[in-house]
Amino acid sequence: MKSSSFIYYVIIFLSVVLLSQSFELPFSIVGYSVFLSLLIIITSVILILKQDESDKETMKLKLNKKMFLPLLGIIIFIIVVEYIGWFFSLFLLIMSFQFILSRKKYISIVLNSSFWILLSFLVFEKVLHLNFPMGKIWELL
Amino acid sequence: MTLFLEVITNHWVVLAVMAGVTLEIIGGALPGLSPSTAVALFVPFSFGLEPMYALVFLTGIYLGSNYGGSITAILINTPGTPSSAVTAIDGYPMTKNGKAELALKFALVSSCIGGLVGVIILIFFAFPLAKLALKLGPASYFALAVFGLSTVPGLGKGNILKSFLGLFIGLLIATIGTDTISGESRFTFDLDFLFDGFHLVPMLIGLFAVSSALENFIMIKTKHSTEDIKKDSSSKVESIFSYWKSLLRGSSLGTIIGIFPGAGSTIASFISYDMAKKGSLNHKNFGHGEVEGVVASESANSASVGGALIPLLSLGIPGSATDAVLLGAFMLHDLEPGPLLFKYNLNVVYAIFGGLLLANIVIYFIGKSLNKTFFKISQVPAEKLTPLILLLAVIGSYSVSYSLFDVLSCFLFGYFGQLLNKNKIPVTTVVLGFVLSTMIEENLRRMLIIGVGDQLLKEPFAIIMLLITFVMLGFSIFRREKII
Repeated sequence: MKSSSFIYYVIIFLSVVLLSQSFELPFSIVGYSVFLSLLIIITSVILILKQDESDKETMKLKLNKKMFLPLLGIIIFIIVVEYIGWFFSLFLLIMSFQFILSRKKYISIVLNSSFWILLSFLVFEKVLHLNFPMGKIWELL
Repeated sequence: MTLFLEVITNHWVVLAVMAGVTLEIIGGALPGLSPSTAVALFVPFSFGLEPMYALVFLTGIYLGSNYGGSITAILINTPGTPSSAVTAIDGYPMTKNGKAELALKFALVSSCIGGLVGVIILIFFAFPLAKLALKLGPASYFALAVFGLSTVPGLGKGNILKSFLGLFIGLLIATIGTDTISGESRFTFDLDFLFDGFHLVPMLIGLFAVSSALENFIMIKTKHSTEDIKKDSSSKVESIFSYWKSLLRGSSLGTIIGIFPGAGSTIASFISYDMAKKGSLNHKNFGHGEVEGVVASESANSASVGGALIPLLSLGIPGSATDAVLLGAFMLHDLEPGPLLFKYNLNVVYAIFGGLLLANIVIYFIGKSLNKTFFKISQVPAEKLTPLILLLAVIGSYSVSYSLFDVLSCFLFGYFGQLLNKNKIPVTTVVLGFVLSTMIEENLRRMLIIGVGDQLLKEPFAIIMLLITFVMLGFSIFRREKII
């Protein structure tokens, strides 16, 4: 499998999954999604078959492990936010993002993160009155 | 006329406009704080005001948010509102080319001009236009949405099939969730968080902002802004009038499309952008930082506010989510939009008209004074800016419906956007498909229930629109040097 075709195989796979699910839908709503799934599959197949030079350029772009650290961070954030609260988990998340991007200047990372979290707390929680999870641990204390 | 002048020279009206606009220029720049959310958030603050001032304040917020959304779209590729996603197509490359200040200036001026045109049309044609829009049935709405699809070839940079693939993906993603006509759940896999489907705002933030931010994790290009970007604002803002065609077309298109309930500013921006691209001698620069693209998009999305207010004020029918919130605000202040409003509360109508005219002027002066401050954002090093973008992405996507699934989906769309970008599949076509899908499917099914032939014969507007769409699509495909 050419790495430049990777995305098309992923798209085809997802479309086939949705297409198979479509047939379980009531008759009145089945047509539109079947039609779209088929269009996606056909277009992807044509794109795989007719790859040009510019597409092959994408093969040179390697996947970097660092790229997946934000996703890992977000998953951990979603798990812990209920327990330690929105702003504290967001503080840790933003600090970790800054740490990945610039490994030096620890004090500046902490100060920067604190500033932004404090500002977002004031703007979103205090001024705009948006509701964020407070965290079970803080409720217990 | 005397009453109109009396109302717009009232210092409380001016103050209400200034407060609304200032709050929302800043608020609109926050991703996730859509115009409807912003108006809803400020409705409680308007309780203490007289109805006339309260509604002027809220409509000022509505208008201000449309311009505010373009600021982050231009500077950090994070559309503050869905319609500003189109502004980001050329606005963000302009920032990367060192022309952020210029992009902001042009966005501001075209936004104000578009807004003024929209309001002037609203003042003079509110009643007849609203009546006309109401006569249109599902076939016309279907044709209008299909017309939106004709912009697809103009949104890609190379292979036209890739643009269509993006569109089909967007159309299909929008089908996930509960079907609005039958109430059946579709592709939800019995997962509760999928019953509502994906929300537009997390998707937008993910595809644009998060995918750009992820790029910085790979490149570790710590000094991207200050070193790479040189300040270039050589072109004077007066030169905007050399794009008068795009400006005028965008403003009129925005107003007309805004009148159609459900069509909204996003579709208006897409169509205006595509038409500007097709009509421009610099069409090859579109997508790489062409200022005309910013002008076309911004004039259309601001003009759509005036258009969207036409059915609301004259018939009491909300044309968009923000209009629905405004309708609620009218009712909370014991006012009923529609013909009776014009009969018994003419001072409120004039105050809104005058307030909107003033709001555009206020936006210009406030935007002009804040532009230099906004510009500094583009000079912040990537290592500091990236976590801030991600912070806004997390808060913005969560605040849409207080759901952590939205936060996760925003990041997943970010990775998906990365993959699409790497393979040169334009993410804007995914957004376009997502926005148009419900309108296409619902009206198509209504037509099928009633009878397609009968419906089309009843609505010649639909036939004309479909013909224009096919001609435009054919023309775009024929003009492209490279199809596959």
